[in-house]
Amino acid sequence: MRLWQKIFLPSAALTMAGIFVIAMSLVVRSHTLQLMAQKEAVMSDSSKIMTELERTLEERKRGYFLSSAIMEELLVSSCREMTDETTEVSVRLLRENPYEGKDDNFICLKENGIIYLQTTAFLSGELWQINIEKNMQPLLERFQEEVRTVQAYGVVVSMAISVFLLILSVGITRPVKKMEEATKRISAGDYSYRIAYKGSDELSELSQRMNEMAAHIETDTDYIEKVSENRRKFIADMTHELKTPLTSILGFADVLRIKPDISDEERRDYADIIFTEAERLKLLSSRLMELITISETKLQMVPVDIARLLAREAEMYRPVSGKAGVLLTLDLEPAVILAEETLLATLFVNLIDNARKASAPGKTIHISSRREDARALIQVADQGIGIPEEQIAYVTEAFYMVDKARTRKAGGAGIGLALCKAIAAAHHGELTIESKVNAGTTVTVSIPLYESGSEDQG
Amino acid sequence: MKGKGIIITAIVCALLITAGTFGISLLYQTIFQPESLMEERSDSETGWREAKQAYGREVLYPFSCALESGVIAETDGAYLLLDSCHTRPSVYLPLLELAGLEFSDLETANVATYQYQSDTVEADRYGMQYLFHVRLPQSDGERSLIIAVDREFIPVLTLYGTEKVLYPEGDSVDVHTLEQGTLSEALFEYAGKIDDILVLQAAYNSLMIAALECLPAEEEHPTGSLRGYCAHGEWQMYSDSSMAAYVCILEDCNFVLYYDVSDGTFCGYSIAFNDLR
Repeated sequence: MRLWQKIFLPSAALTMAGIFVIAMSLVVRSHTLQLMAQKEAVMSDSSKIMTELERTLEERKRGYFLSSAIMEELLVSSCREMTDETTEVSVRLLRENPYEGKDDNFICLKENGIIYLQTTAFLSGELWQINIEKNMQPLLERFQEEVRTVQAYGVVVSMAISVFLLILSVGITRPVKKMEEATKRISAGDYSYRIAYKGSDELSELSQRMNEMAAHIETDTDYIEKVSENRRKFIADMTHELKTPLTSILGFADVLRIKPDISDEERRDYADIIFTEAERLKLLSSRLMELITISETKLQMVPVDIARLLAREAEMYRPVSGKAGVLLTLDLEPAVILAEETLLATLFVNLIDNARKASAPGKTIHISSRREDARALIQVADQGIGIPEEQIAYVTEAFYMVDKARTRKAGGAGIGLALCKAIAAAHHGELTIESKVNAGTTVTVSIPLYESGSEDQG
Repeated sequence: MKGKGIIITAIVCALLITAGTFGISLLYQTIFQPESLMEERSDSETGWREAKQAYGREVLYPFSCALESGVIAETDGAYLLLDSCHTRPSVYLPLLELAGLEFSDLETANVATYQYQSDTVEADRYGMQYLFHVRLPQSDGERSLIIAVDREFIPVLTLYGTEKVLYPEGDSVDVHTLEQGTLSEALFEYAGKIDDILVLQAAYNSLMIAALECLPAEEEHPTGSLRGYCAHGEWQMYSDSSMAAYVCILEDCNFVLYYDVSDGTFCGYSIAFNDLR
């Protein structure tokens, strides 16, 4: 049974029952009152007849007694005078007591619709029974007619109310039907489906809540899909990056194993290649390990002056950059942040190394730090080849390489910037990149300044 | 599926309306029971039995009932009876004789005089004025005579003998209808004696004329007399263990002959008659 039927049928049943019971009660009450009025009228007639009789008797009799013939004549004529033409009156002289314990006065309604009233009275020395009969058949027939009228009106009114209740119940359950359709579509995967609603009743509020729920599901589903896609891509990239050095290692190892006549020079070259690729694998695996574990490891945060740290790391890197013909310049303003120094050092070295790789000999890498709006800003700016604008958003993804050949040649695997972003995030910081092709790239790291008494923020 | 649901709902709805429609009649017949509404019974037998007894006592013992109900009140006027006897000897002397008394007895008797009170039916409509209660001690017990007179001092009620004053407590009055054939000759004779006493009195004659009007028109009737009317009237008898009253009813006229059960003789009469004449 549908909801509208569950609402409509009991409502209709109750309403009809109510109508019929009320109508019937009114009819019965009306009829009862009319009948009681008739009964009272007959009893009143009887009472008036008796009073009038006693008065007439007193006036009429010349001695103490009246003959039974005179009495009967008086009784009948008095009764006739006191009643209308619908009333029949008869009198009977009771020589003997006919009752013997039965009620001698009574009023009743006979089956033929006649009210029968019997009164017994002792008049002028004798016992008289006075019977009054009033025909109630027309009244009873009128009652039946009224019942039929109520039936007819009851049918019409019930039908009208049924139609109204039907429209009402269908109208009330329409939003439920819409919600049912919506849940069907949402459960089928159509998370963008929304229920149209009007008003502010409970069903409208329910529709609104369902729309909000669908929106949440849609957002969460998109997020999960994105995470899943990223993970899949990460694994594919990682597999690819691991496979490239392994291929070289396996290839040259196989050459060394199967080639019988190989010169010492060739052996040394092949061994160098194997060693270099293995080193690369080691570096790759350690960076992957850092990248994976950084978000899961509890960092040991201590106040660190980033100017001091940058200066130290730049100084340590200066031989490498010098070898590449790249000049390092520093502009450092002291700024203390809460950080794990080792990780932060890794972040800076990665940024400087990336800048060096992108820079041609003779170019300059400018390293700076400053405080701004309660944050420490660290910038590493190079004058290198730059990053195409459309790729800037992707360069912080793991294994993403703008120029794969160049990156691999430089010993990279596209993990550096992803690791930098992860380290910055671990320090409640952000990493932003501004770049212009053939003009250079500036990477800015923004980390909240340390304030005394806030050690627990990490 | 939806169409099927609508059809089922419409059918159920139609059934509800039908049930309601026919339910009206059923409900009406269940709730509305005109027979039980109208029926009402009561028993008034005790009431009319008491009324009958009271009425019977009133007929049998008119003096004590009048005294009890305050219709009469004692007054000075013992001389009134003697005066009446002097004024209407043709009535009172035969009447005393009928009662077994002599005029001289009245001089030694204890006579109480009662006056009918105004605003009573007896005084206003039947014209009764005085009632004399004569008590005469005798060797075999007290003998009493009750005479009620109208405004013309005609004795319209006379009752004599022993113990005729107060009705016996606890005794019940029986009422019977008598057929003409059952009446004794003694009754007719006694009625004849009263005729003889009252034949010259106006009240008596008025009664006779009024009674004559009540007789069947197609029959030839001699001049009215109580004895004659005894043969035409309806008869009722009120009786207890000591007294009986034979009531002769001629339409709206009547007279009463009293009978002493213990003596087995008639002991009085009543021809009280109202002013309608």
